[in-house]
Order: sequence, then C-alpha cells, then structure tokens
Amino acid sequence: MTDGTGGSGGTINADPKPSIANPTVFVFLNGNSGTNGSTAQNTSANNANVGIGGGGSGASNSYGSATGGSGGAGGYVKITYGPGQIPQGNVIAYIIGAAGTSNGTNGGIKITWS
Amino acid sequence: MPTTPGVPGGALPFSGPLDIAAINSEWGLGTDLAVYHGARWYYDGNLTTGLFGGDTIRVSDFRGKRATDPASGGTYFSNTAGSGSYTTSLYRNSITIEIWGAGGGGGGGNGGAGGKGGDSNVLSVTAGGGSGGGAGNIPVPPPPADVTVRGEGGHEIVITREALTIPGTDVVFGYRDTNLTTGSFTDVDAATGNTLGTGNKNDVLG
Repeated sequence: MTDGTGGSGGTINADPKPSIANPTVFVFLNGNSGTNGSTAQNTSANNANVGIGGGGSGASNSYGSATGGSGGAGGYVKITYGPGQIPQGNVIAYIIGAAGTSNGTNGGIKITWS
Repeated sequence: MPTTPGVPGGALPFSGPLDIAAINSEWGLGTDLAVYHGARWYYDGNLTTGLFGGDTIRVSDFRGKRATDPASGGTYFSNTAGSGSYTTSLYRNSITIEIWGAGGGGGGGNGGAGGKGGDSNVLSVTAGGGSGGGAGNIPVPPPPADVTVRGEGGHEIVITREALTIPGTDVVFGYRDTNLTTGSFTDVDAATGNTLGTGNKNDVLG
C-alpha cells in the first residue's frame, strides 16, 4: 500500500511585473504544497484568501488501505497602489482559475479601496 | 439636492447662476457665509479638498465644490471561475488587489490523481493553481495460478489456488488449493507434465 503524494503549490510567473507600474506594495507568494496521504485540506499561512487544495480520498479493501495526497494551494499576489494611480473608471480585467478535481477550491480576487 | 458621499457628481456649478440657497442646500450651514469659515470642501471628480478661509468668503468661492467626499471606500470580491472585470471607484488613499490561484484536487485513495487548479491572472501577473495530490495505491496480489492435479482415481481436475498473505500486507507466503476436498494430490506442472510435489487436503505449498 502506498499513500499518494501531496500536490505542489501554485507558483507565480517568474519576475512578474504588473501592467500598471510602480505599485506601493507588491507581494507574490507560491502556494503551500499538499500533504502526503492526507485527508485534511491543505491550508496556507500566507493569507486567508487562497485556493485550497482538496483532501485526498481514503480507500480500503481486503488487501489494505491507502490515502491520496492533498492538492497544493494556489499562489497568491497582492498589489497596492496609491492615490490617483488607478483613475476612476479604469477597468481591471481578471481571470479566476477553476478548482482542481476533486475538492479543490476556486481561485479568487479581492479588491479593497479606501 | 445635496451631494452623496462616495458618489461623484452633483457639485455646485462652475459657471452660471449660483445663489446662497444652493450653497445652504449643499452644506446646510445657513445663509450667512461667515459661518463657512473652516468648513471643508471637495472638488467633484478628483481628490482635491480644503477649508474655506480668508477674510471674506464669496459666493464664487463655492463654484465647482461640494460638501461631501466623492471618493469612497469599499471591497469587491469574486471567486467565480472564469473571466471578469472590475471598474475602479474614485478612491482617496489606496487600492489593493489580491488574487490567488485555485487549489489542486485531492488524490484518490486507490488510483486517480487530483486535477490541477486553474491559474488566476490580473494586471499581467499570474497566480498559479496548485497541483493535484497523487493517488494512493493498494496493490492486488497476483491472481492464483490454475494447476492440473492428477486425482486418486486417475482423473484430472482443475483446481484453484488461493494466495495466502500476511494480514495488512501484500506479502504472499504460500498457496492453498481451495477446492480440494478429500484425499491427497500430486501437483503436476501443466506445461511440462513434471511432478511438482504431493500433499494432502489443506496443505500449504510455498
């Protein structure tokens, strides 16, 4: 019997540069890897807003039992701009990734302004 | 009509008629302009703000201004897979964009790895999705071999061997001819006809 290995965390594209330049804060973090043979969902210490890897499923029969590995978490990016850097009415297009099967969670976006 | 905080538009006109009643409607401080000393004003549509001051406040000092901040604060959130967009509000201090890739799927307990989570993208920066977890594996022992046995009466019958394993492992330590019911037997290699061994009912052959 062999348990499954945890999935790798999502990565950020190399040397990323936002298309709107000169942010005041720019953070990018690779996602945490999943856990070998784990039914528990993978969490990330990076931020509460992460794509969470699904837990591995357990299986057993007359020959034994094994558990799949949990999926890796998605990568994370945070970009902050100062006053006037993004004008009112500017359209910010985005794409959100779909959850991996099975039991991963979708990616997401959160925009906060003050 | 007074302006609405956080919503651009509705400031007093830059040109044309402007009276004290319109000023009072916006600020609500009355018709004596002297009391407007120290009152805050905002230009509509941008981040400029200030206080009324000087020795004399004139009606013209109010042109293009409003009493409430047209900039706002707020939060936009989405975790719906696919394409989307957000149109920025007028903000005063900062705007923060966070984005994250999808989580990979969990692996199956006995075959079937999890699927990769999808990538997310904003402002040309991609947050990759996590990889799926690997599958677990429960190996199945090799199927029992069918052997030809020459019985006591000279007839040949085909019996089935059951693999005997150590519980909880896949280690096979022997085989037992499960449908041999009586008497002894001689184990014959079906391919060569050579005698492999002899035994009695429930004997275990290594």
